[in-house]
Amino acid sequence: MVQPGSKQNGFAVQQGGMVDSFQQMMSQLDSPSKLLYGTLVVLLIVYSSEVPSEYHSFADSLLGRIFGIVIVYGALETMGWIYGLLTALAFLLLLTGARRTVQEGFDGGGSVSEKKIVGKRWFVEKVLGEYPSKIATDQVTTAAISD
Amino acid sequence: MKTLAWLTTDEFIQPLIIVFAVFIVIQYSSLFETEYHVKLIDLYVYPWWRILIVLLAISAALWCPQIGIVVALVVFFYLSDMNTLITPLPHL
Repeated sequence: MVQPGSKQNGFAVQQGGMVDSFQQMMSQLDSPSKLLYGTLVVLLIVYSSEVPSEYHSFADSLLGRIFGIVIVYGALETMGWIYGLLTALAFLLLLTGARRTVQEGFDGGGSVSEKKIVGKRWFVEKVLGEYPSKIATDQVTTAAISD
Repeated sequence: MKTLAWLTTDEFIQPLIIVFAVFIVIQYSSLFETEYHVKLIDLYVYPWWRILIVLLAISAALWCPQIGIVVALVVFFYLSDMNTLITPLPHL
């Protein structure tokens, strides 16, 4: 143990100050692999809206949910609860970002004859980013206004 | 039973923060009726703001586990709601 103000090889050894605080902080840091994992999870949380929708859909599937729970549990057991919390946050954001699989109002059932989409998309579909899979009818029936 | 005079600063502040965070979760996040402040909406598009939000959750978790969990809930609802708000309607 070097005493404050002592000399080693004729040079005074500085004790305390910024260097000491830095060394103390470095000794208390987690392992590099944990820090790398934590950084990746933080980036995943921050850029969760940029993740492709395929990954969101996979996370929302049965296999993806089981996989996610296993990962969260694994992180919790091996790296501590803070990493588990971050992993759970990232997994939940991936899960909620999945596109809802809501059935269209028109499903062509009953007396309505469904038709396949032919030709280019309508302008309004391009603007709204819609990709209709089928249409109920391509004819419009009109009638005169009557009192 | 400790009186207020014997409480440390942490013991006094932590319950207040938990109550405040639970209020935020109930009032702003779970109902999705009370609108977020316009600055919170504007700041969401900046990545550094989202990094700060996550660092807030990590700091809270390092400080106190209970606060960490509640703050993580607040962060989750905020990020999830903002993500939903910026998503075009047909993609929802």
